[in-house]
Amino acid sequence: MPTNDKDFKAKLGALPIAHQRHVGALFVQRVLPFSSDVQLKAALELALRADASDAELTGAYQAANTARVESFTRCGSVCDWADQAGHFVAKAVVACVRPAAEGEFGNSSLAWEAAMSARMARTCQTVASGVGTENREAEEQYRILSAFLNK
Amino acid sequence: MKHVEEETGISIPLDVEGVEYMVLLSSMEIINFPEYLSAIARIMKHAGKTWTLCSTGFEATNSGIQIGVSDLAKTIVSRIVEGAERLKVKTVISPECGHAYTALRWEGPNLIGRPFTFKVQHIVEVLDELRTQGLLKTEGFETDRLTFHDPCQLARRGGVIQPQRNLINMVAKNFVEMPDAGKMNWCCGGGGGVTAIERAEALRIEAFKKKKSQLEAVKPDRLVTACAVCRTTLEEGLEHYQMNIPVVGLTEIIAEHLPEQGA
Repeated sequence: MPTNDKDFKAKLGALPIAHQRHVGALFVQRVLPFSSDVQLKAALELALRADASDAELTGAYQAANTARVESFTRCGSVCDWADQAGHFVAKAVVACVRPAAEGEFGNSSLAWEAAMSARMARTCQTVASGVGTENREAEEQYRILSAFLNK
Repeated sequence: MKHVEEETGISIPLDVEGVEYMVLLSSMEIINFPEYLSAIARIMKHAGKTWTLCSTGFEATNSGIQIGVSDLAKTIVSRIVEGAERLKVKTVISPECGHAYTALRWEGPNLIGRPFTFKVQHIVEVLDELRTQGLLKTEGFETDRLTFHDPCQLARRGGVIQPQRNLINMVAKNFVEMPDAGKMNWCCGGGGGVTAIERAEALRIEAFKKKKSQLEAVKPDRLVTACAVCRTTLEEGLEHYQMNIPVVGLTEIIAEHLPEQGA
């Protein structure tokens, strides 16, 4: 089981893309309830399917990206942290269904991007619920990856 | 901060006295784009520069400037000035935000009624300075077609035009300029505080048509900018007109090309 992010990131980056999509979706499942967008739920279900076609992924990616853009907190407006958690859920889902044609994530990986946005979603949710920013999302992600690798 | 520390493995300095740079964040970067602070942490480590965030003056966004209330603008600038002077920093870095740069660099000394004891630079000016000093080295190139949107407050009002181009050319093989780029560039559609007005969405979408035509003229694969407000406004316009052009921040794209990414 990874015990730090350096190891976690390396293990995620070494996975084939289909596995990255799957494990990324498992990370996002934990924070999906922070969004009420049904299109995100459908997109995440697609990311968990091994037989998702490129066309299906493209459609889901566009829908998730629309949710991401529409949920930006605007400059000058009061931040609703619960809504902002939803924004990061959308961003995490975008990573999970990103079609290969969209190119790579620089030096990062699809699953890592999903993990980081899922953590931000959790942090926003804990802020919204008034319990500060402490949470154990990273440790839960390590556990999920470990279980996935040991299947 | 904790999120970025976990992600990068780099400690984020807070309230450290006597360092070279005090880094400010825009509210958009705090809320929407944590990747900006990650990029800063990696670049500063790479360049060997000392820096800090300031707990009493970390946000550059100046609502007073946005809504034209000078008393509020002064209060917000004063927080930054007091923080920078308490920490005795040499330079305060304005983030990837247009109006924040105007508020602090051009309006700031007039608002508080005296010159600053520190220098104010936009992040792209700092990065370009590090480049000329040989402290910012990158490796590899983006091969897709990139173009740059000049934030109005940075380019047209602030006169900062060449540094961002020097930086893009460090990491891009296929950089193209939009028509009227630089000093004569057109607004993203959200400038002048319009981005903060919910009922102005129709205005933003209409104004974006000019940017749309500029983009259609050069057909980029990605759009780079250096203002988080421009970034969200551009994304909104691109989404509305179903244009699949990802928008990225310049500081982030530079950080992606640093050697030793594991840092």
